[in-house]
Amino acid sequence: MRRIGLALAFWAALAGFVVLDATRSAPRDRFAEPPPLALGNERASGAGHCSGK
Amino acid sequence: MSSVARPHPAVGAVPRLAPWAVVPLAWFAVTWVAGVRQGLLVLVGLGFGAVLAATAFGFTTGWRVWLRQRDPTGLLAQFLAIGLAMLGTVPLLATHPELSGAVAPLSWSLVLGAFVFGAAMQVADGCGSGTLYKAGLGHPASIAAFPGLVIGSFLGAAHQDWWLSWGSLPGVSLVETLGAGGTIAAQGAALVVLGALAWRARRATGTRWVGRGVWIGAILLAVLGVANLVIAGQPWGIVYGPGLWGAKIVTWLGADLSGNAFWGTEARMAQVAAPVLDDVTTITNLGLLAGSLLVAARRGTACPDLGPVPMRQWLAAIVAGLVLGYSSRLAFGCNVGAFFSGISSGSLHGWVWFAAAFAGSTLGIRLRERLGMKG
Repeated sequence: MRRIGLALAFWAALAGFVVLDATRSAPRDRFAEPPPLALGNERASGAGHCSGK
Repeated sequence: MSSVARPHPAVGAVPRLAPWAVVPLAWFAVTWVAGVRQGLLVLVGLGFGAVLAATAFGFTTGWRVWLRQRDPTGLLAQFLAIGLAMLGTVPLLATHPELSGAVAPLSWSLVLGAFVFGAAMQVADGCGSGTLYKAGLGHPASIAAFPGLVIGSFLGAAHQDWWLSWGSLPGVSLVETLGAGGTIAAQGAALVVLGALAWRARRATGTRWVGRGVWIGAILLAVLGVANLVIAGQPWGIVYGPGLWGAKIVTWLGADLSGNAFWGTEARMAQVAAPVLDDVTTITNLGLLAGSLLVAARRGTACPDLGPVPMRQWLAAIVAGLVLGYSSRLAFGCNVGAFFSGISSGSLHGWVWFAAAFAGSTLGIRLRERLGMKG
């Protein structure tokens, strides 16, 4: 038997997290969005990579 | 001549194409909500997931079949992917200071964390990317491991400062010490030598990776890895994302992370407060999850029937997920953030990670056998 219920629960939890986050996070400033490519533009803040300490 | 009416080809094409309609929808939705950069990155993430699932490009399995059967195919494909990614990444890092490589300290925590991660990934049957793409396509053990990955990654990062107090040396960027040409020559030679040794020691006459798929997968992963760097400004990573999700959840529950050495920095506090879709690692992770599901849905292999799973294997998966997440933060990444991206960025910590995690995998395979796991 395929475990479709488990997969559905997983995806529902993931979607629920993203939606809940949208309601709890600071509002986004559309005029402060980064340029499409990091290449050739300002250096990123460096907050979010696994290699960070 | 058969009188059975066949459906018009266009009718059959509709259900076949239906899952792929998610791709432009995901791109549009993410671009609309989180901006053009994030929209591009979700496409990169979808690509990662699709390639990993379509070619069964498993870091964990590649190591295991070499250690158990001396089949070098998976290992060689990984070396090819890393080598090709390096050819794109190193010149970019050498000439574009706005881009960051995956360079991390050489610490005791790196050695210990990578060893433990290498053992846990064999028990969980998936590393960081493997757990994500298998969870995405509905693999029960990976879904069970996923919450542990979130909790472990958050806690490991929160405790990273204490582990670093055991002793560490600054990160070594070969791009800065040897230059782009020297890095490519030195690391390319190392990858070729390791590949030759793995090939020379081969025993298996058959392989699970039949055909060109795994080699095409290696090339595509390298291209997507370089695209990730160009768009996001940093190499492909996995485990920072789940850790950030954990930080958000504990903050919602009332925890104050401002005093924590890792999460309390100004940049990370801002990231915890900002929408999760603004995080580049989260976006590629979500794309990866969806990409693997799309491929599995297209092939009819989603939610695989693996037969009854004993309770001890469920428990092992949950604990392994926790250990994977925690140890990956001590080790500054998983197979993707440290091994693939570390070495392709010319960071010495990527090589240390590989050696320690590979040693850990030998222990993990024994644990796997004791737990009665297949494969």
